[in-house]
Amino acid sequence: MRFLNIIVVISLISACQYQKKANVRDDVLVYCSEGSPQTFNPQLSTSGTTFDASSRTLYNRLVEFKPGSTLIEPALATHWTISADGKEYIFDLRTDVKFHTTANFKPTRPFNADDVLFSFERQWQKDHPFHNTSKLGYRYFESMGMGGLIESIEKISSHKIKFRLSRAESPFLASLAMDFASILSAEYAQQLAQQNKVEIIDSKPVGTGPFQLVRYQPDAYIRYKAHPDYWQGKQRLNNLVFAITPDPSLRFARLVAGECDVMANPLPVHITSAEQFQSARVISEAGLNIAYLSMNTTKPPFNNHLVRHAINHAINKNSIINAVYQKTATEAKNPIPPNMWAYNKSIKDFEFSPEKARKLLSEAGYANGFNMTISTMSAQRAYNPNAKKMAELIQQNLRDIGINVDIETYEYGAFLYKVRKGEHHSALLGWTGDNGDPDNFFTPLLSCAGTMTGTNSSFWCDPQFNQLIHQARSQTRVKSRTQLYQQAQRVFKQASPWVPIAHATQHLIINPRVKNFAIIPTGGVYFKDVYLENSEVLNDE
Amino acid sequence: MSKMILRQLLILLSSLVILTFFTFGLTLFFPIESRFQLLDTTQAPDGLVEQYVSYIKHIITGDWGFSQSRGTDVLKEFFIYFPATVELVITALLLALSLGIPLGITAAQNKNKWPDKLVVSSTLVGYSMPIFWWGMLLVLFFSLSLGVTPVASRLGFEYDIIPVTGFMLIDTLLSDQPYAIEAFYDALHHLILPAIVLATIPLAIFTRVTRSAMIKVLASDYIRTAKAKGLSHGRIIWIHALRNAMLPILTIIGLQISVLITGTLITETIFSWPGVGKWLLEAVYRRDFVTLHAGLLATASLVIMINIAVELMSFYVNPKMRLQE
Repeated sequence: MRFLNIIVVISLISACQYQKKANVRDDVLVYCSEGSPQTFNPQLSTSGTTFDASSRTLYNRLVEFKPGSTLIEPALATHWTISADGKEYIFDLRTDVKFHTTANFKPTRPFNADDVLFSFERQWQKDHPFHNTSKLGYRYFESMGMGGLIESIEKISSHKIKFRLSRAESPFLASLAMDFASILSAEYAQQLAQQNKVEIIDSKPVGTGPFQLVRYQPDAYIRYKAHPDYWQGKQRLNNLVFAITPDPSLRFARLVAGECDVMANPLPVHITSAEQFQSARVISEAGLNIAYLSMNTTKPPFNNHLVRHAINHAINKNSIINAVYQKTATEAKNPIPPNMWAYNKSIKDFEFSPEKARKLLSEAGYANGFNMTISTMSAQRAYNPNAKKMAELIQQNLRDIGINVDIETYEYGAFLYKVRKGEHHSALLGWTGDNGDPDNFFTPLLSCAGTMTGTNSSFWCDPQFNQLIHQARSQTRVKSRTQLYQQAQRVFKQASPWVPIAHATQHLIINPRVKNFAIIPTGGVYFKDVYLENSEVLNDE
Repeated sequence: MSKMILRQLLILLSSLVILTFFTFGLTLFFPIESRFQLLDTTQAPDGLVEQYVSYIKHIITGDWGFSQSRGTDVLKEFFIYFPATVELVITALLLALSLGIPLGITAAQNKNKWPDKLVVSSTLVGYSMPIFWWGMLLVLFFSLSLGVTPVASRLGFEYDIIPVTGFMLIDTLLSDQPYAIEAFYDALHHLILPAIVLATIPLAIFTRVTRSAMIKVLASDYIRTAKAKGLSHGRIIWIHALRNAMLPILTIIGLQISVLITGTLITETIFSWPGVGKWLLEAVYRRDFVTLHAGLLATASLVIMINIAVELMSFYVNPKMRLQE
């Protein structure tokens, strides 16, 4: 029994210590995130988890979105002029922007045009010395067709830069506000090249953003501190930690216990039970997203549009919205969400009808059904809280029309890798728009260029559709663009390479002590200008 | 003595060789690009024997390949995660021993009376406890309802501790931050629940083994003699009886190490503990074969080595075995 006493005493002592630390905790915002980032260079990724940890905390872009909207405002560029033919963009750059000082790098000069040149040329020029330092590739830059769009980038003076495009393209400015257009330090790259350490450029990042990286332990945490020389002034929040917690129930438990201040991707059940807890407050915002079943049109029987129509008829979206989203989503019929200006309301969706589906299948010559595989991911995303459950519901629906479905579940990174290589038969995917422009859905997800980079997961390349979205991109008037996009949505519905399933409402749960925090319609988590209620006192010390 | 050590070393070596046969056999089922990382692709050996030789070369030189999803050296990664697991396993082992042995002794002394019955029945419950459910229950009660223990991870995120050794209890003390001592207590605090969960099954087993060994020893003649000589009760139990009861306990410790290492897989997942178990589980989700191979080979060789070490220790403790030589 002596031993028991000792253990009781030890735990009592530590319990007392545990109460004392409250004031240290007051100066740290902990965000329970859903996964480890692939890299700290946003140019190399298309995943929101990576962007949250890199472009949204560590970097800036020439222009950025106004917080909470898709309007564009100046950032590293103070102003810009666009030539009359819409092909030339000249940016004036800020002169007072400083890069992070880290253990590996001390900047000797402020940000200038060389950094812009470096950031774009690295992605653009295949013979650039840094182009091949990472195996991950520049998927975003390529799927946006930037390589062909940009004709030249020219440094006019140390703080003036000119982009010349091969054609007029209205979403170009919005593209420059996107994550892949983040500005890296050319001086840091040069220094690493001299030291023969080029491989650390993406894992030990240097940017101009509001926070800088202190330490990263994969699967455990990412620690940031406020950038002391941030060009918009130092953040009120001194310390920011991403606690990597893939399990949603554990994330919620940590939020309730006060270990986290902000929780990523809550499950629908967390949203309904959050009211009971003092430390939890739900914030919601209509999402700019879509969840869909993508059928690989290069593989039989999905190369037959009748089969694709049959599957559209067979899936009961209403039951998915009830069971998977617990009614926190709306049914989808088009590839873009209804809060977007180009949405075509007049499209008629395939109604849920197993009889029609069976009829279409026998027309296509599959009266006895066939075997198919649905690939899904284990991770939970803003547009899909539970892909595995969704796959199981679809499995049941399709069994009713004689189709035998196998479900394969992968970790998020492995899943994306497999889909991009086109190894899947069909896959449950989703997309959150990052710049509010409809082109941001159509071009990466459904264009012919997207089949090359693998972001077009159905590998559907329709010349008429491609022509329509291409035309819409080169126009500047919203009215004529709307007409073109509405027609494109009709072509999409006829071919139906996807089953559009749902548009999810975005939710986050935060501790009430977190102030000035908002959900961005384009998705993602931004901590710029966020602060904690009691943190002022500590800042004065 | 040296003959004994030599024999154990031979057993160690042959076990490791058999292990590599097994792991090499597994690589035959890997996707080709993962497999080639563990072979000398430049020579492109055809026969299985040549491939095995090439494989062994990679293993011995420490070139265990790169993770497919992260591009990092897997052997280096193993040693980043390993200290967290060791810290948890050692704490759980100490907890199980420091509670299990006294409980077993108490039960043996009160054979068939109520303390014995209580201990025996509760060990049965502990032994058959589903760990996952037990862990969740503890978190629900102590962390969420009472709020006395943290929910997960190794340290509160407010403390910025530089990993030097990887052992949180040591690193917090090495830290030059003003809150180093506070962080040390916090790390200790974070250890409590995971250690209890991981220690539950070994604790039940240690208690039962100690109990039965002690009952056997206490019934022997020399204990009766000691009692007749008028030695104090404590001296009889702790010096005379325990030393002889120690042998089966030592053997069972060796066997329990592998149970503990398997248990970390579950415990680390419940508590989001960044150790080898969680690392391997994430690798399964990522279909990262190179990482899985490294984790399997490293933990399996470790378990073999620990078992051999325990064998040597019991040889040292037991005079009968020493005399046989």
